Amino acid sequence: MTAPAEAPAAGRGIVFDNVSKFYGEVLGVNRVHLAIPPGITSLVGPNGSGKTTIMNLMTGLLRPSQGRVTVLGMSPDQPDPLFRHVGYCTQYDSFPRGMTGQEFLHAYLRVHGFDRRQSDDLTRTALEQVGMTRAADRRIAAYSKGMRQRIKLAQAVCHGPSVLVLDEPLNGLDPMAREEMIALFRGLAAQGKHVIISSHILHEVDFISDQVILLNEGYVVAEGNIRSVRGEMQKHPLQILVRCDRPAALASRVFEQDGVVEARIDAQLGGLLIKTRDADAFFLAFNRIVLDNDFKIEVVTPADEDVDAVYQYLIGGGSETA
Amino acid sequence: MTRGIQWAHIRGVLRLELRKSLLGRRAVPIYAIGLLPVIPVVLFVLISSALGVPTEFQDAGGAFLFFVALYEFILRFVVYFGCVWVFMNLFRGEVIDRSLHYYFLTPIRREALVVGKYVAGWLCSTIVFGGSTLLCFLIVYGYLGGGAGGSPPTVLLLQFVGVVALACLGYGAVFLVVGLYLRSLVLPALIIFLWELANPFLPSALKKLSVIFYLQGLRPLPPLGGPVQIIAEPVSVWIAIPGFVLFTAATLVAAALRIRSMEIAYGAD
Repeated sequence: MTAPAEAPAAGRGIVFDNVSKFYGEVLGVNRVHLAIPPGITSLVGPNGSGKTTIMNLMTGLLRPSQGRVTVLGMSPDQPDPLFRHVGYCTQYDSFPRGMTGQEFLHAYLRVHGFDRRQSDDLTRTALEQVGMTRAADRRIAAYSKGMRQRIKLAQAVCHGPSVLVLDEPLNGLDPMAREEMIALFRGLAAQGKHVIISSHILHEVDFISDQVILLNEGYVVAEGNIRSVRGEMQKHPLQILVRCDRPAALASRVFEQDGVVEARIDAQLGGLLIKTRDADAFFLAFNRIVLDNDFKIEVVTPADEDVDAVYQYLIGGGSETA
Repeated sequence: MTRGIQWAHIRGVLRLELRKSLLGRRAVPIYAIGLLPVIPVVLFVLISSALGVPTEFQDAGGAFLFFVALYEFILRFVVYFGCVWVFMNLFRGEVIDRSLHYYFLTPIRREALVVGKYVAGWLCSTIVFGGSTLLCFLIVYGYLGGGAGGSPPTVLLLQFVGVVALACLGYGAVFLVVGLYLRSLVLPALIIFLWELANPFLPSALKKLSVIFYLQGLRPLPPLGGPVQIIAEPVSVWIAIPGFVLFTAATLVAAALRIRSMEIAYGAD
């Protein structure tokens, strides 16, 4: 009989120390150094960039060719302590044959070492968390893609892990289910848990992540808070969108400021798009211009502080990530 | 981690694997193989009922003679190919179904996973093939009656079923390892089958590297006549049992070593 595990020292986080993984001669990831704190962390990158490899290394499904991975101070090659604290929703869309959703969760909770009653309770709770209670007694083979995705999520969260690793967890979910799952992830992150997500939907990543890890061809190209990552990219001017009553007049005023390299009315964005190399100086000057000229401002918002723009700047690959 | 928790993990694996092996789609070939020896026995009874029992089976030892011949088939073919299916599927089948990672994502030590799966495979094969042996025995003795080669029928039955259980133990360990190390199932199974058949002709040292070598020393009576029996060396029970245990343990250690370093890379399969 096993009780749901208490989280070990959360401060130790998830650490990759100079980790490389090669599949024969093919590079998986190379010289990865990471220290992932609690909260929602997103892995972003195109196909083959190493997102799943990093997740599999974290969970011991793969072994590093070089370097060391620790999760809450534990090595992933010790499943007995590790998986009391870690849940992993993999990308594999497969299940043991012939099982219902409820049987699937219950059977693997028994393998976790929970007794029958605990397994019953944990199964029920997990099914409620992912909104699968009504479909629990149907065979998984008859589930839609979204339902399979949800039952995989239930399997990852059912034992109350403090580290949740989710490979493309929102795939196949309808908008309402996405909202529910995002709320679930946020709730877990708010409890101080680690939630590691990979997703190809960039605006969603931007929307839900506390920090991002941008990957390309097996290398970590940037990591941290999206805004801080963006701020370090001096080569690309910061883009600011302003909606106001007299955009043309505002454009001529701001263009006189040092650091402003472009000010144009963008019909697609529906406002004045300003590009500046010195954001702090610009905002000081901008406030003065608005007050002095009595502009009526509707919106002032960064136009490229999202992960999509950051990703494009970093690797120039457009937004076609997966 | 305490032994109690490890045992709870193993019980969880056992429960799940028995369900898959005995009740799932994977069970159909197992039952089909298990029925193979029952079919000729039933046919024999039906035909004999219509045409009369052949003279060679009419005396006191008739049932025994019939069953010893049938038992050779059970041991060499039914148990062998049944174990191929049951044990190679324990890991290999899960890799093909892409469901092995679910076990790897639970807090069970991988060595304990091997033990849980192995015991489940052994129970499943012993239940089906031991049950098949039992059924054949009951039909044959129920129909032909008569002596039992000097032993009471119940003792003889226990011996026959016991050797089937041991055969499942030995072949199970071999095929568990084969399923872990190799991708193709058919060729290794055929090679090992030929190796087992050729056992009486092998040099003494190589003979010990087969399951049938140890089983021959444990079965109630050696197989019926023929050149194989002439060449085969008798193995004492005192060599057979420890040898069998050592052989099985060694193969399980090899399985544990493999599983410890195993990675999930279904794409490569």
